[in-house]
Amino acid sequence: MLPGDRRIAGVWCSEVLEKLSEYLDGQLPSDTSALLAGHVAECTRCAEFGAEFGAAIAALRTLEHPDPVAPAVASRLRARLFPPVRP
Amino acid sequence: MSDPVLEDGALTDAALLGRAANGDRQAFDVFVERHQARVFRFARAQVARPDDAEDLLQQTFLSAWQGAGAFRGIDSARAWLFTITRHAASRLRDQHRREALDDTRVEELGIQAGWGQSSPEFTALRREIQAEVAAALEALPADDRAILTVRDLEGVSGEEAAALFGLSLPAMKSRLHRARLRLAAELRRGGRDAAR
Repeated sequence: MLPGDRRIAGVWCSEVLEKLSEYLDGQLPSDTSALLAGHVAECTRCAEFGAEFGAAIAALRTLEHPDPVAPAVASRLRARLFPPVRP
Repeated sequence: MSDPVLEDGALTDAALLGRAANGDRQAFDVFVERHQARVFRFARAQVARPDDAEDLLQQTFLSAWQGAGAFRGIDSARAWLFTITRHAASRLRDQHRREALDDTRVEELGIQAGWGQSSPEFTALRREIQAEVAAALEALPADDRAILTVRDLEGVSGEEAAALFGLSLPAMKSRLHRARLRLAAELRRGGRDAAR
């Protein structure tokens, strides 16, 4: 159970927490999303946590571009794909 | 008829794989160059040992080279490669873990991630957080790293990600949410350690 779970605007904090990813991703039906937004607008805890959680996801997405593969790794990959033909 | 090209004039993945299916090594090399960094990152997300990740990278492209003719142009080549990597990883790891249910309570994860606790230090660190995020991601269990890599880093669609992990769409979403909460908890832990 979530300590301090409160029912605000007809929605429990625990319900917001359960659906937070879908809410932030915009994947909830509009009526559900509106209900959660109503709760978050009046609940400091959920608003703060939602902001932090959203920031964590946004920060994760800053890693969008992977580091280049090291030359040695790329070289071994090519060697396995196209082994040199021995005369 | 000429092969389809991208805006920059480069051949599309489907065109490259079509040529590779006919034994064109040069075309496949371009394909490898285009995708190797993403595949390697996904491989590293799935296994702990660097040697295993490199082996997965090699197995993935070897399978892609040998099965290039099986690629259906309507699919995303990236998702196709990830599927191959995933299957190879499953063979490396315990097969049964793939279907293991993550039944950790969201409330519990939320508390670990800081629900109900004010944390100005986290907000202050937000702008300089890239290194912390990378470290936090690295510290997560392999299943979490894999799903975060696929959905949040690579932007693979929910449907494709669900298929990739052999999950229903709701199960994939649930796993993603729990992985994000664990990441948030790890970031908070890292932020606290840095503030000490």
